[in-house]
Amino acid sequence: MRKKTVGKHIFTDVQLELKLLYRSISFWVLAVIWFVLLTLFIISVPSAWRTGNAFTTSGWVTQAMITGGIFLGIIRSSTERKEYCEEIYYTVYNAALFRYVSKIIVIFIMGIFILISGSITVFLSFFLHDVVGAYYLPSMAYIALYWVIPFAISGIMGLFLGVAATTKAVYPLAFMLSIALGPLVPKLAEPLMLGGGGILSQYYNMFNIGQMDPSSMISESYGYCLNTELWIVRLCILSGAVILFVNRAVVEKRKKILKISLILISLILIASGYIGANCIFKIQYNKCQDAELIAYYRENPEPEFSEVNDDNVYEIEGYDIILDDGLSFEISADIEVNIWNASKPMVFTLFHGFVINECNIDGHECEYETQGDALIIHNKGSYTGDHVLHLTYKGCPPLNLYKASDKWVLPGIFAWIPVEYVGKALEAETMATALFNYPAGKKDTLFKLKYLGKNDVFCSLNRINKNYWEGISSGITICSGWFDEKDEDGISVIYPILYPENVGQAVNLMQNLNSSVPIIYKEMLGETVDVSAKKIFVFPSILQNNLGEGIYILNDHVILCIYMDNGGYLIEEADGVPLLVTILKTDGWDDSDYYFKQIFEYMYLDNLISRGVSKSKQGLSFESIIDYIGNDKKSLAEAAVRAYQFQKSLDTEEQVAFFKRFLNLLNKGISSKESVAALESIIG
Amino acid sequence: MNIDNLCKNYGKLKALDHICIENIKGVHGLVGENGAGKTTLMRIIATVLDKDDGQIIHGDLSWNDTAKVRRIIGYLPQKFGMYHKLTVREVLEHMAILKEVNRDIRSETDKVISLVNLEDKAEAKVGSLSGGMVRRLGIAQAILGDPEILIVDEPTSGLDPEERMRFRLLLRDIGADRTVLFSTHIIDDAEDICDRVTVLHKGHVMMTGTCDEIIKNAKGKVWEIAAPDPQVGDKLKNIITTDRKKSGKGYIVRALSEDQPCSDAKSVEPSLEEGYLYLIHREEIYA
Repeated sequence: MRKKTVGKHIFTDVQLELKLLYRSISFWVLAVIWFVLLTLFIISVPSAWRTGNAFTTSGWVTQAMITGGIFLGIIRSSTERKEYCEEIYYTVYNAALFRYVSKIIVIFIMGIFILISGSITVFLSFFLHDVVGAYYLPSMAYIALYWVIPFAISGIMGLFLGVAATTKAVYPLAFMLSIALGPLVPKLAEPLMLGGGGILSQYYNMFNIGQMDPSSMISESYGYCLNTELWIVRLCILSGAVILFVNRAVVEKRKKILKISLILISLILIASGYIGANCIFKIQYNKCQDAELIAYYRENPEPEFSEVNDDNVYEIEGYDIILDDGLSFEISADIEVNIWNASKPMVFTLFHGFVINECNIDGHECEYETQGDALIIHNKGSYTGDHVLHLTYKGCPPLNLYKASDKWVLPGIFAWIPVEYVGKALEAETMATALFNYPAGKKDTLFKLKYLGKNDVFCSLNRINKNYWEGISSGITICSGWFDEKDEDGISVIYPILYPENVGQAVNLMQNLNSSVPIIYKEMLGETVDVSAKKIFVFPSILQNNLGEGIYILNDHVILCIYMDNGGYLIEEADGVPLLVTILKTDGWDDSDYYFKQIFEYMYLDNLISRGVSKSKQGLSFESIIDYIGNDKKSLAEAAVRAYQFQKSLDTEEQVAFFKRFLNLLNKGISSKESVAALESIIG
Repeated sequence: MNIDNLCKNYGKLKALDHICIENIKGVHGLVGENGAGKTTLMRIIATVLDKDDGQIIHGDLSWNDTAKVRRIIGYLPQKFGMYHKLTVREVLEHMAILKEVNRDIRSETDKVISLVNLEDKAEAKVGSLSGGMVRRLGIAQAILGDPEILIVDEPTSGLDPEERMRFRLLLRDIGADRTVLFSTHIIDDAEDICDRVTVLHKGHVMMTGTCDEIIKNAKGKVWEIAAPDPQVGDKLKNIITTDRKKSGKGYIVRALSEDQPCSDAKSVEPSLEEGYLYLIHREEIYA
């Protein structure tokens, strides 16, 4: 048959199908439902905590799309059988095939209609509510991935069910299928996940064509979950459904599946299964993985090395790093080391989630072992002097640092490259207190970084060309996601695109830090510090996902992980507890009693504010913390009040000495039982 | 068209058992009781069903080449309907495009609408047509594109007498210049329309021939018995009652029997129906 004739046939069939569609009651019922859903959704946009949350929690719209699609499909494909004209099409050359193809096309046309009408309405609503421009296109993509594609998949599955099943039992079956495919699945699977059946629920979730977690909030750093892999998996499922339905048209009434269909469907299942296993499992079950991670750190105390305390084994003089991203990271690190002591192994900190593939010194293989986050390189070749340690490793960073192949953050405060041993990469007593161990090398080193991926990334080093950076720093921060970069007052701010106002706020915050941080360093650590960073990274959502609040000051950049208010406002006077914790924290800090730490943090902050050093307006007052502690540990609260009154009676110099004593105790690790006596001892 | 050793099984049931029909042309009738295999045979010829074995040939064309076969057939299934929401013209114009009618589609559809006498219903929705009109629409779509072979499965069943008559005339006209394969269990229809008839019984061909040839089979086997008891046929062995009429105070009973069933039975001329009944009940009569 000539192409022109085929085109004419399909066009005529699509016209007929559309004519039948708009003359059917079911279409108008579904159209009314769609506009009601859209209206309800639009109403929910301004009341959502953040605009994007209206979308991320729109599982109910998706479920309606899936259920509506599957029933529409059944109704459309069973029409010929119900109207007794099915056999006619089987006796006209290619007529049945064209009918089937036209039905698929009409489902796609309806999908496009949903996309266009939905997008226009949403854009109008955004415009009226003055929503930031960065939301527009991703929201359209969200509608396509979470509303339209599920509708199309379920519509075509419905078409197949409509021709394959001839009894009314198809309707309850379709309803059950729509639930199984829908975003309610994770909710149903949650008990399984909590009961340790995480793996099972992950497999279960692979069939979910809606939101993986319909109650999750939008991430300011990563935006909507629009991973390329999710698109691929869903388009694979869609293709599989189309092949299954077209197969039915080709084999006509014979209940068999053609070899070619079988091969194609098998390939699609394998491809989507592989991608699903690597993507959906990894991304959507952070909770599960996070819980495992926390358990890991609680159950595996830091290994004890005699070598660790020996600073005279080696020194890092430079890094040459090649980074490739994807479903996991592949990193190659050439580390220039100056080895002083050949009799002892070199110990580094590298997050244990990375698996070492290669390890050699100057091209000669060398023995290594890992104990948790400790990477121990045995110097069997008795090398001394300058050498190049070459490592390649593969893996994913933990917690919320990785969301998708194009959404990740590798901060300089996390051991994603081997650094001189500083203990564990994370301190994770509980989910709520998982903190980076701030392992970035304390001294400045020359870094060279080459990025092989395809994403637009932002790096703390100086850009030499598109994907190559160099710089002297104490750590590298690199990220990909919903970020943008803007210069203001000579400072480059990498900020979440949803909150462009963060640029000015971050710069103001830095000005406040400029006045407080050097004083804190000098008073407590006896060090001088330059806070005139040229780059600021604003990572609010990393904070939201249990990585702990903090202001991390590296040599050439600052990472702001601080709370934002509901409107995305970055508090400019946030130089409070987060700052103190990240500056003053040492190894013993984590072993100290939680209340004891809080007493120090809030009492010292109170002192800094009263002296005009800090402008912090963030968080609770010292009094409210004491009230809170008093509910649990009255004696500790009373001792804290005495200590507070005592330091108030001192002059500034004595106050500083008081807090230095307090900090020294804290960094030794004061247990809960020792805390009252420790406070009394500071008062003397 | 020739059908050679055609077989079709539904599980263990032999729906068609080595069916052979030669030289199908003009209006060819397939008659048989319900379950004889008429619809299965029609659906195989219409390419809706696959055969298990055997051959169907039309000239050089084998039924193994479904694509080509579908270009030369028109089919009206036993249960025919069309989209209720479409008009008669919309249905036919759509079918004309699918059938790749090369001539002006509007005039072609007008022609078939006129042929089946649905001019005044051309713009009416299919849902508003009577059963007979829907069958006529079925014929109209089947003859669109001038197919060489028209397959019509029991088109007259369930129609009122007037529609039936109209249908017979229509099929006779259509069959004038093409092969029409027509199945029915109404013998009068076959007698009225068909040039040749094949009698099917339990998946077997009992006979293929003209109506006269089928009638001829029963010659000397049909008897008329005058009796006061209408059940007289039931009381006699090895006969099949074919008709029973009241006559005066008694009854005239027509029956099929190999031999004179009783002394007052007189031999009469058989009808096509009796020829058909003789073929399918021959074994009972011989027993």
